[in-house]
Amino acid sequence: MEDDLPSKYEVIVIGTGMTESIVAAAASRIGKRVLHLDRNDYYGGMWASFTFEALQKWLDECRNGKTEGSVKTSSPLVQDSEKSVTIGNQFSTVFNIEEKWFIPEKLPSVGNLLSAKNTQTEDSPKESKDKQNETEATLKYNDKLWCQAKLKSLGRKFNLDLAPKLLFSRGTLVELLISSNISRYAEFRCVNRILTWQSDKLETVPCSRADVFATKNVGLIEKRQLMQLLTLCVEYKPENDEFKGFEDKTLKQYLESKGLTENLMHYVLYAIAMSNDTTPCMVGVERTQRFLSSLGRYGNTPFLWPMYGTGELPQCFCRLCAVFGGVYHLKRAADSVIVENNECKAILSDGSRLDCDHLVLGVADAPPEFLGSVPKSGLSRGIFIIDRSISTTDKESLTLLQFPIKGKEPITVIEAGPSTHVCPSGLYLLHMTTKQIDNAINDLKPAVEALLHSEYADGTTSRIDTDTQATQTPKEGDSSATKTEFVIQNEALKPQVLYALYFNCPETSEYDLSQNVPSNVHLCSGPDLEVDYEFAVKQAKSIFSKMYPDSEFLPRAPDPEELSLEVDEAAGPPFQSSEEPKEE
Amino acid sequence: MHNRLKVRTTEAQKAAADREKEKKLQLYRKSLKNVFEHRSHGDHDDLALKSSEGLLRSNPDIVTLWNYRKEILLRLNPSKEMIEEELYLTEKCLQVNPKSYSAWYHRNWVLENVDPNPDWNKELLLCTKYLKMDERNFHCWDYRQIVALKCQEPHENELKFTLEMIESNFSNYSAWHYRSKLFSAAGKDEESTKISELSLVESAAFTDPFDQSAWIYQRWLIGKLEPSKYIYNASIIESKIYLILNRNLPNNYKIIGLDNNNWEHFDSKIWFKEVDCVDNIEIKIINELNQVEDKILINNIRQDIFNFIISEQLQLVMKAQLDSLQQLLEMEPESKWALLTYVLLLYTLKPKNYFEKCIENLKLLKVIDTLRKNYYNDLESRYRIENWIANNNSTEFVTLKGYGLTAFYHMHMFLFSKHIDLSDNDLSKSNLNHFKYLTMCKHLSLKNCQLVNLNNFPALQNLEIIDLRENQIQDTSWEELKKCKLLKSILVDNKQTVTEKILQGIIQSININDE
Repeated sequence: MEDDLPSKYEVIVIGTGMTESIVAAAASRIGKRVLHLDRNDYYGGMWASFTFEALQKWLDECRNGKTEGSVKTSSPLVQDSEKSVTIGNQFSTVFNIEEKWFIPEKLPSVGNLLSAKNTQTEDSPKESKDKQNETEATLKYNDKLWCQAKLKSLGRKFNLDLAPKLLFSRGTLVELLISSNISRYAEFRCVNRILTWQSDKLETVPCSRADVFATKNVGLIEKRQLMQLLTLCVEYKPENDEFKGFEDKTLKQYLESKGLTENLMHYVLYAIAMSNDTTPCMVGVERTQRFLSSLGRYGNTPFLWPMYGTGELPQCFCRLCAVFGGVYHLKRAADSVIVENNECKAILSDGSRLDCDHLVLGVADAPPEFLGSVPKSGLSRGIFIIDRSISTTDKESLTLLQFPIKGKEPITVIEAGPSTHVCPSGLYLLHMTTKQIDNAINDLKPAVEALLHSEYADGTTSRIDTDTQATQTPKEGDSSATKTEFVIQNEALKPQVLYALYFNCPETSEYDLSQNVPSNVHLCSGPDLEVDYEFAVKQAKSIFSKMYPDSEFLPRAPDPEELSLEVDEAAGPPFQSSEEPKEE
Repeated sequence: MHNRLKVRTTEAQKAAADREKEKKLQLYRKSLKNVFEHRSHGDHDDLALKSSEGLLRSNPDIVTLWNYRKEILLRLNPSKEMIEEELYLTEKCLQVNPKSYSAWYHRNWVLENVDPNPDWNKELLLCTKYLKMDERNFHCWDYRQIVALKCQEPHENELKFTLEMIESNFSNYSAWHYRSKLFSAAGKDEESTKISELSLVESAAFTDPFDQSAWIYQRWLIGKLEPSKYIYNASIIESKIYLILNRNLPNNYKIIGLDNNNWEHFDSKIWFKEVDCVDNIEIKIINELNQVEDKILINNIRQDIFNFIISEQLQLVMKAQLDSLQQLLEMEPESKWALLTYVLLLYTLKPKNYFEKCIENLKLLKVIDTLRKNYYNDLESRYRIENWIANNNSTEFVTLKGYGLTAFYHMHMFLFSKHIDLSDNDLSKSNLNHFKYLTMCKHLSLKNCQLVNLNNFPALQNLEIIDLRENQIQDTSWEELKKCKLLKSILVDNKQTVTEKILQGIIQSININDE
């Protein structure tokens, strides 16, 4: 096949997942010749964000597997001493896909509604007038009703993440984005609410000083206790004795020893320390420190969320890689890896031999024999399109909820609304992630049942209007709202699921991926269980330092005005600053 | 490889930046000169106005340029567009320096003096927007006060706004301060206001007892309590009636009780007039509405003068605060703000044993907050003096010996004292001029008071004996005592370097007692 790609590279990266993209950028940044391939027509692999349509296409591919081109075992491009190893199939790793609609394909027309009503009631002048009003109301209401056709027509407004993650404001990714000057390629929004699930209801966790001050959920003494504990964790250094004796105990045991109220225990353990009943004390303290140190940098919670979905982030690194000369080719699959003496020499792709010094591979593309006994399961994911927030306030919120499950890892719930450009207005996106025990449906069931209304809605059931629901919440001391009424109303306030998608995918973060690979092949994990990007950044750094131990990892990229173009022979178009000249 | 991007070296960058800077400087100087030329020609036109615009945009703090613009604007009778532009300029300047006094002032000036239809509501929105970006910019808070007044924004809305700001970050002196202003202006409903405000402060205290802003506000809330009575003492001495007040008499208040109103005053706390012979006369203080604010019978002394008027409801709240402060102190024994507030509250409410508790906690404060040791010493001095007054029904003999006093308070209340013993205190940092009220004092003991000089010692016309033993007073300041004409005896000891000769120069009818 005709191919105009140069055939020699220092680094070839296959797959545009998070880790792969960071490594590609880092190598390109220090002047290495980088080729970055992805067999898909989109960036990100298992880290991608999709429109609704693209998600459907991805699901089809996952269900059917991708038709593999016939791979020749012997090729004139492979020398006798070399061995050709076939690349793996990314789609075979996604399991237990369950897709469910909870709304009709099309809305019943107003005429149908009317006739249905007609058969039930006798006409009397008064009723007929009522009916007319009703019809008008229905007409108006239709705007707020959803059907599959309507949702699909807005499908381009979705950015559905395969791997929803947040950034700690002082986490390694944020620092990396800043120090490498890649931050200019991305936009973020602060998570503005941390919720927890306690005593069968959602509560806002006071996590910053301002929250503690303003919250009415905790008493005065509790406020001080909470602040004291948080300060203690922030200021903790290994040489002080605060946690002496708790080194081999759990965080829960430590918190109990401090005499915290149940309320506070819950906030600290499940929401701030992001832990559970069995988390070791010192791990919990470290997590609390990480949480608290990120507070207040950009907002009242420690987290940032990328606008347009998490799929943007790998692309930012790809962009930097390209700016420094990295060559990109999407829709370009690698077919096999050529190995000689436990060393990768080249890859075969579309009938070309592309030589490289280093090969960086996402696990999804890795040949099975490179993977060894890497687990094929690990994550249970759920994506839900819902008609309102799980806990409505007068402003749109961006929410993190660690839904505690007794004796197990919590379910990480992230809710994002239209202002982050991940869904059309009037809808919210709810992501759930947890460790796979059984399958996604069963693993996520507790949170789904607690938070969502996941019965089929035929589109005619009257639901409390999203716009007015805040005012519908019974006020304290309202005698007319008895407790039962409140519960019923609460049930009606739950978001209706319009569409749900469940799947399982592998989680390889705890597995040593270097065991079965040639010495210059570097495998990158897919998305891990943690809510943040720490693992991906750490892995990318370690791969980079293995390849180029003496080079700096992603030094600051210069701004356009710091650059000049060095022209050798045929001059290209002059480099133009993308920034407007500064005002005097 | 072709066309690779090359990063400029730091030297090249620096050189480029220097060139740029030099260019800018030239331009700046030239423009400035240009503006002043316009001004010296008396130009008051559009062109002159334009001339200073660029300069201000890069440096909004050149007051002269703003003033020149004011001159021009006043003469030009500017159009609506020009006013818009002028406001836009201040906006741009505030983006350059959000804390530019002159830019804020100019904006206000334009709206008040040039703009025939100023849109104050828009300004209020602007302030809100601005404060959301920088919640502690006091320039903007100040401006907001003016704006809110102009557009008659209801107090409730402004209170709501400050609350919002405080909830997002309560370490905001400006927001708390604005609340105090709003409450003072509203004037009504003070009681219920205080109650709800105190609970807000409480929340801040428990969240972060080491943040000063809310404590200051709490002090304002408690401090606003007025002491109950005006009159401490009304006495007749040598055919003069003296009225000693606890605080300054407001200008529009009057003293009533004798045939005429020609009261003279020493300062606004000591009032007197000549009388012949009076018995059982009641002296009243009336306010501008002729309501009696306070009254007292002649020759009475009020020992409870330092008690405050606090409604029962507020008392309950303050007692609850005291309890919660106690809890807070159990958790944070070293929180100086909590401790100080505890002392202040205790002193305001005066429960049983309050005095001992106050002194004990002040002692603790001096240990944990050594930098403000002298402040606490002075506070303790005040409490001790007030306590003495509260426990004595006559001031003829005043004994404040060994009280650890470092400062004087309420000295005017000792106007009638004949013997005052201030020995064994630390008066090294005090101003002796405070003794000016002791005009009837005959015997003053300042023994062992760490005095090093007698500067500012007032002319005490009745002083006969002064005890200055165990001090280290310098030679030069003894002269001050010359002003005390009746002084007969100065007690000194051999610790003083003073010579007999100097003392002889001070008092003619020598009676130097040198034990």
